[in-house]
Amino acid sequence: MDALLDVDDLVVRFATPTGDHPAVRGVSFSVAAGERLGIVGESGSGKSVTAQAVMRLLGPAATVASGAVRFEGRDVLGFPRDELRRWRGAQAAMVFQDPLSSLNPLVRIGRQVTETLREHLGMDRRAAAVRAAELLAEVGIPDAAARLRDYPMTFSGGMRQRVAVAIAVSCSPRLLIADEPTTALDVTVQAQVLDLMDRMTAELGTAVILISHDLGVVSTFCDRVLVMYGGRVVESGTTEEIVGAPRHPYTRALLGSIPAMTGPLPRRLPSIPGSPPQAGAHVPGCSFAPRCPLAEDLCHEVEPSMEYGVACHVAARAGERP
Amino acid sequence: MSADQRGEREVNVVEVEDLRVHFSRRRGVTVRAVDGVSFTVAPGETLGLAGESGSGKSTVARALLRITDPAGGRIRIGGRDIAGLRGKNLKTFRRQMQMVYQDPYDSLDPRMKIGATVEEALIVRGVPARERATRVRELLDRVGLPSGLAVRYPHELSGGQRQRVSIARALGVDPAVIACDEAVSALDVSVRAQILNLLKDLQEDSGLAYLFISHDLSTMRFAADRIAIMYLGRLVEIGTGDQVFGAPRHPYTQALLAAVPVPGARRTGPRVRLAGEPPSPADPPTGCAFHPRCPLAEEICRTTRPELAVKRGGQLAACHLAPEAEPGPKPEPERNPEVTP
Repeated sequence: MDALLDVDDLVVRFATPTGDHPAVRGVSFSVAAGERLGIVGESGSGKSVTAQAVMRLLGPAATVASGAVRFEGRDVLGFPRDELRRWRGAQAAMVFQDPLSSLNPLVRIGRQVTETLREHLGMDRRAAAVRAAELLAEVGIPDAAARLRDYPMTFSGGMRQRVAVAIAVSCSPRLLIADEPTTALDVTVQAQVLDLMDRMTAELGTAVILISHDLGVVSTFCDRVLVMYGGRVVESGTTEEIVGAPRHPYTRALLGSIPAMTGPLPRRLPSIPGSPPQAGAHVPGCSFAPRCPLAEDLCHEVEPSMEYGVACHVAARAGERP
Repeated sequence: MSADQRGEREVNVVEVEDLRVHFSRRRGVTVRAVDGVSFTVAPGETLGLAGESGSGKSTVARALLRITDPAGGRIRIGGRDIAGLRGKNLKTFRRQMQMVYQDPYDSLDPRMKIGATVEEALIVRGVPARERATRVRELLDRVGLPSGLAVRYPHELSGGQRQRVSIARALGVDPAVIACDEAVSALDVSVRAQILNLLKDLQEDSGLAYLFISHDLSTMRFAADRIAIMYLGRLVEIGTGDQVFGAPRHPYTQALLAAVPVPGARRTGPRVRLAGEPPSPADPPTGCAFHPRCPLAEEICRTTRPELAVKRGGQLAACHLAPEAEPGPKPEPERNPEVTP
């Protein structure tokens, strides 16, 4: 077993007043040690739910209906409570879009950093405080030792996300999942946080799953990319393949609808009609067929399976990637 | 108000001169959120206003709509100075300028059907009751919504559809200019392109002007004819899209553009050109507000505030060190985008 993380045919269902709806419908992927995988998708694509299922952080309405999540060959979905607590934070950590949702607003920054160190690394109070100051300094918090006494609200959004990254990497995890970690940040601060995640995970050899709606962010960070739509992976490949030679009509349309930063611009942007299906709303056949310019009868009837890295009847006909 | 009453002598639908907006904080601290901003928008033109959070870009729009009262300067909309407008006059003015916000879910009344929301704009404009149903259908059609949606509530619509409703409502009063404040930022990428195309189509049909506020620079490049870059309450650069994106002259603009992650651009080094975060507008640095973060800053930048001046390429930039426009004939705007170091 080479993979650090193995997700196999994962299905997550949401209980709603109108019945049970699948939000993730048979997602499989693996992440090697030290690898960086991007998951790209729009709202309702199931990208965040997939991450939450892997981290065992699903809300009460959601359940893993079937499938497996293995970390170094161990069955994450079967972890008893105390094993889960040891694993989460120490071996697998998570960074969220809004650091205020992971940082407790009523607890000083210092305690939030030392808590993790003491719990997982067994440090005493003094050693943890020293290490916490080092960590904050490493992620670029000026005057780090003094700022341990401050509350999260006194930090800017960018600084809070630096603290969240510091906590996430504090126990040298083997896997870091970052869910839209820079979406709420200004573009220059986004660049700083991405650089920081780059540096901290490269030093530790941490594998990263970066979840984002932004193909630009993902393509500057990741080795490999999964494109999700309607609860499924519709295309996967190396970053060069996905960005340079996308095969799924959805991936192509997504890339086409981002205005270029250089060169001539079209008068109208290529756009995809309609909107992405809401989580759980499921049509027979390919989820993208109702919006797809290439859709044929078959696409509306039979859901395509993943072949040569693409789940599309039309694209698969062309065979393997050239 | 008919087109001729809008004032034929007026070339620009928006004229902003030396706009200042101040906020008072506790302990007598005054924050200069907008500190001497001037620009114009012509009919049928889109002026993009870009900058990071705290740059004052949304405050400019709020001042233009008289949601926030300026501390100084002059704003003319449709040829009319809007300072001191009250009551009926203020209402009349608001028909000239409308706003479309980031999250249509917040700006649409959740208990009001779509048709009634759009009809409200028609009532404001004084459209007789018997015509309104037809006009609502026309407006929904103009923004690409089926008229059947008129009987639905906002929560029954997708994010893109809700934003179309906001646009229909804004169009309902027949404005000369619409301020779009991060109007497509919350939308999915595939839906964002539809709304950007719609805004362009409406502009081509009716000569609408837009003040397009966004932090997303690739969207801005597509949407705007001219771009103004704000930093800490001031304009640091303003010019055509080709000028500002092709050959930015202000170091802040250059850093901002360099930080945009472009799909497929394989990175060869760190992304960061710019360390730190913008300083507080309550305590702005001396001289050029950008100098503490500027890689090029010299002594003069710490002491003397640079004014906007014509630079090489033809755009205006507020930087002591940006190369001046060559003397002689009027500088040609640069057509071919090129990367400047």
